[in-house]
Amino acid sequence: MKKLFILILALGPLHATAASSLPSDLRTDGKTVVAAFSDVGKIARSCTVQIIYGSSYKIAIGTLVNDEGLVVTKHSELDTAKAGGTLRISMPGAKRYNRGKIVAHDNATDLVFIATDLTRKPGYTWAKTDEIAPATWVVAGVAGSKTRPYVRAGITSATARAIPKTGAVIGILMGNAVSERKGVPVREVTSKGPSEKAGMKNGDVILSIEGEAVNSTEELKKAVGKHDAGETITVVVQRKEEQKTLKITLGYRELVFASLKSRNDKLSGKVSVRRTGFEKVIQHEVTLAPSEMGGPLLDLKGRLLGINIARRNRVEFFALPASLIQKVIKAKSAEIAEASKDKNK
Amino acid sequence: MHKLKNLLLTAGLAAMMLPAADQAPWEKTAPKSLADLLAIQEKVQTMLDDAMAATVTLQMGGSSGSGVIISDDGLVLTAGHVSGTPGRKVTVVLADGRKFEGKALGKNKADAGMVKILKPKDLPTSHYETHKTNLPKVGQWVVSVGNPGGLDAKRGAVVRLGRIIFARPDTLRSDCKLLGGDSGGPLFNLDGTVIGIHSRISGEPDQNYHVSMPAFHSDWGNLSDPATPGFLGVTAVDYDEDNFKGAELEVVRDSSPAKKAGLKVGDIITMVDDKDVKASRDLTTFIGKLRPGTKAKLKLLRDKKEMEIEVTLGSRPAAQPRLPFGFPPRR
Repeated sequence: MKKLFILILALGPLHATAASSLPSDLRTDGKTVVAAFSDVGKIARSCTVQIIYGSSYKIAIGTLVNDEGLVVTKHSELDTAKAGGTLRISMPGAKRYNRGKIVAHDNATDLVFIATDLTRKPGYTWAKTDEIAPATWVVAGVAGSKTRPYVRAGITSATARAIPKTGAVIGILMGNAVSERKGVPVREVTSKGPSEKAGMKNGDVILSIEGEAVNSTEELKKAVGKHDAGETITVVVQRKEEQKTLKITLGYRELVFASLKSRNDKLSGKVSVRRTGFEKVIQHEVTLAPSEMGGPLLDLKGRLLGINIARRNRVEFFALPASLIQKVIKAKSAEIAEASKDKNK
Repeated sequence: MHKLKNLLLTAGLAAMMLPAADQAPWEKTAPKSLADLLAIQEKVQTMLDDAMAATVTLQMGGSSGSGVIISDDGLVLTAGHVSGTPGRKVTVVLADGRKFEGKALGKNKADAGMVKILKPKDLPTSHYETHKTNLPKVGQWVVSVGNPGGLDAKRGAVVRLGRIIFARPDTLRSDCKLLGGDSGGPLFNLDGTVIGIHSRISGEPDQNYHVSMPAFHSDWGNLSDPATPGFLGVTAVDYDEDNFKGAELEVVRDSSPAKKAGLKVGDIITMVDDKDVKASRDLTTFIGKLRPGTKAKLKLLRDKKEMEIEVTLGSRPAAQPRLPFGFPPRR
């Protein structure tokens, strides 16, 4: 009888695991697995910041790129947040809220530079190559807390490549331009689209886009087409007797017009306001929200592979490679230095 | 007795502890260090090239899904909701860019499906789990490959890493992140063996379902050589009067095998070959079990007179294509 009891004891736990499902702590994103990345986690914490408007509106994650407090993040997220109040930077172990000042931005990469008083030296080294093999572990820096991890991990999931720009729209149906009158009439403003959000009304006549006069539907399309989704442009309209200036943040055609939305986009939740039009990206599978872009992407050796730039859908995430970031920093260095002189004002 | 008990206890403990000391990093309950993680990475990268090469995009009209080639003669495992109606035309696009014409074979209730490449040539193939009932272990690391959103030649197939959440005879669940278009794509173990096929995606990105290999093995004959049912071309209703039962024809389709054989609306079928037809569903069942081209002897009642008519069965005309990619049937 005792023999039997012992045997059951020995077999018991094995049998139980075989029949049940994997506890959430042991899943790929679970606490126990993420703990194995703790050495990289320390490096992530040395360079990951949270970008906030006012006292609590969390806009994005940022990456510290030098020991003079320069922070880089995704421009269109910051730009479309349109929140009032002071831009602040928070970082574990640093003064609770540091002030930030936008000192430069770059449209091609959708990066923005913020000068801060942070004096910490980021713990990573810059990766020397963009050619990261598929299925390489990567670690994304996010805003953690005592209970939530400061990093999330996954693998690179495809070859590094360019992501061509796709169509951005202001979200209207155009009426026919009348040759003897100026501008392009708006037949219908798309519900919940970029133009409606900016206050456009049916019957408005669009006179110019970014200062450029538009007198036909073709000219209007061409003027909008120069810009990327997520970019905010100035549009002047005629409404009855008055002219109004609207600031419109462009959206993707396939997301603005509900009937064009694919099932995959419907299943992907919120995606980045700008998710295409990048010279080169590293693709990975680390789940990040649009408000978690701008943070560092590190490998297991603590090298900075890139900076997270877009949630394309729920399985595809993009990071701009380190070489591209360094190139932009170099190109913008004079502008950054000039604007940073009075960063405390 | 005491000695024996001690011996057993020691043996039991040893059995429980031994694996821990010898375990490969990917066999541990969870990786403990960067070294463990690097070992897993290396293991994945070793199997990846072959796995990616054998993973294909399947295009059917305007929809697309994924699949994996498992034999030189062009057998492709996929999801049943991707391959669709047996016999339909499928274009198979390889990772190296080559395109082959293919044909949908069978599918089953577990969402297993197969496609055949019609003129196979120098195909990359993948190993698959050949044991008929083997299921992966809970917690086992797995690699998922597929084409979310359809073919993207510059991107290629997308690879994801995850663990098995549960394994049931027909269905596996993993935390590999999937999206529409991945459907039909392969789930590999770290040795590069196919152990499942992506089936249903859930609302949560990291809780998706795969068809298990046993769901393929238990039905291999039907999947690889789907039996095409015979086709008569009639609609019938139950006939039941004065205890006389049969199937009464309501519609006889134009240019159908039934029409050609001279069947008429109002005929009451009472037998197919040597089997009694007591209701309309019997007629459907018996005809369905016969193959196109075979001859069936029908016994029937027309104007209260018994008759016998021989009919050469055809096959059902092609149905309209339906179901978009990536979205499995509800069950």
